[in-house]
Amino acid sequence: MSGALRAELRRITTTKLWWIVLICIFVLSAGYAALPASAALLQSKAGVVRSPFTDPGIIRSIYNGGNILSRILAMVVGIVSIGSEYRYGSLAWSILATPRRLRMLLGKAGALLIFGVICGITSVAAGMLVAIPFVLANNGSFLLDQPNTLRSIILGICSIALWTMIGMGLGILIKNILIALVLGVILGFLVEPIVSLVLFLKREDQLLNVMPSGATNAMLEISSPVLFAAQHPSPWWLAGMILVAWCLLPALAGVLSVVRRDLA
Amino acid sequence: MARRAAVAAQSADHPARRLPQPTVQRIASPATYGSRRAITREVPPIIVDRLVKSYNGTLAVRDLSFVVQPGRVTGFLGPNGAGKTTTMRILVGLTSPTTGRATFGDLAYADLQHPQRTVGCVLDASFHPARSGRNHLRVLAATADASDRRIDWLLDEVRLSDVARRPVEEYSTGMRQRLALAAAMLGKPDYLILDEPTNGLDPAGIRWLRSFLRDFAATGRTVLISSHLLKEIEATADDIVVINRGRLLAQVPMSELNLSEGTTRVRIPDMQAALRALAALRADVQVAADERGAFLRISTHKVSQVGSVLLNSGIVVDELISERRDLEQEFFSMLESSR
Repeated sequence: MSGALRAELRRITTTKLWWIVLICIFVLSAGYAALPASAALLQSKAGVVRSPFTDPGIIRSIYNGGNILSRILAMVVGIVSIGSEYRYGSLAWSILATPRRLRMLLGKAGALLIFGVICGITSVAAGMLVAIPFVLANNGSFLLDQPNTLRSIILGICSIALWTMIGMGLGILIKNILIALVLGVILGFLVEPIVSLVLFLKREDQLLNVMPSGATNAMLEISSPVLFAAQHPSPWWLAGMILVAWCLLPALAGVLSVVRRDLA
Repeated sequence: MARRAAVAAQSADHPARRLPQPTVQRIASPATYGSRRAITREVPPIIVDRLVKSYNGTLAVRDLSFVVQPGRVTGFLGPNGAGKTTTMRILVGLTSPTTGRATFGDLAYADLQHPQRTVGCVLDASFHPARSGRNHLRVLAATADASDRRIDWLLDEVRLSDVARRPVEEYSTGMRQRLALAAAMLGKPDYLILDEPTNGLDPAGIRWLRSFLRDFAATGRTVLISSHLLKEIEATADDIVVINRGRLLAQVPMSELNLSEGTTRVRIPDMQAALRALAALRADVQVAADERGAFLRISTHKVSQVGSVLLNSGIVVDELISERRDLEQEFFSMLESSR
């Protein structure tokens, strides 16, 4: 199993994809983290909020500011890592090396999960770097001594890692990489936000909490109306379980097809 | 004789009667391609037993049984669509059989403790185009328990050292094939399963592969190789397994094919007169045909004797040629007789 994991980690790190994705995540996360930080600063200057950079909610939203984009990129990594194997016919090498297909897929999942964690750390690190000048310039606090802040950071990282798994599941289920990518991006950027908006407007909090992004927001304890987050989010642990279920749903269907089918 | 025996054996009921008795080869001499395996080691044969593969009701492999003996190079022959690739893919677990088994000794590929250290495969040379040749081997090395030193040694062996760090998309077909061969050898395996390994190889590459396979088998290991280059198989293989439409036609040692015994081809306007005259030779005379028309094939390599008989009978001869009986001729004869 460790050999399969090592092989899959090497597979990820021997193309350009990994560092391109990490750079994108870092830059985009920094940009997206700057938005709530700037908004808080403006509100502070307008006198709407006093000492915004000591508010745990604002600090958490800066740290996890890049989550909304990073998780989509993490999903793309999941799709590409599996889809490219189908596309280039290189899955046979994986199966020849680890003929127990479930073990082979677990190796891929483990490696992608590790890479997803790295994506998450990169995203949160970018958010924290953005927070530094705002906090220092406004007598704020990083609140790293607060358990809620640490939990939010850890869950932010975990949520991005789980979205990598959603991508892997999609990649296994839909063997055409282009269709899987287009579908993943459309679902992540278009269908899900529209459905979330409709549910948000109808105040269907229960349904919102079971949407992948709704579950992620609940994990991060985000209740911003801008993100169509539920007013009454699920507890973080329940939201985490819902997100895990979203990973397993396509993955299970895909795994069954890979384990049973002949490799073309 | 051997062909008839093989085909007759296939129709018997019990698998033990149908399969040649498996033998186990001991590796006692130092191995060129892996000193770790130079110690005495038993290599069981590859056993294909009553294999059937059906795709949506269409049979690709039909009740196929044969044994690939250790210490020998076995050529796996058949026309396109005969079921060679399907059989090889079943052997290494990429395709599941409808019924029957294909095993290395008693073990299916998926049951091998260290698959890459037991079996090396070249089934198709598909690689991620953006990954370098060396990195491709590094990925596989993680499960094959192979060191970077071995990777570099193999790249040197297949003459890819200069381009090892370039992406595979820049490789020619022959270079990809050589990379696939290096990947197959990563784990110093006991078996090599090669499907058309000469595809895209230049003459030097083909010559290298031939000597490499001979050396490999000489250490007691097993090679199963399919190829459409019958001359290559003739030069390399110790045994051949011939299949057509998923069925076994023959499993024969090359030594039993008597390929050195040639025939004589005669093209004559008056066939009947020639047949009467050649009866004196007491050799088999067959009427055959090619794109130029009918001719006689006489089962003797003594061309001068045939020429003398025809000359003495006053028969006009258009063509008189000594034909060396080769694997190609034998192969087509097997296919012809299976129809």
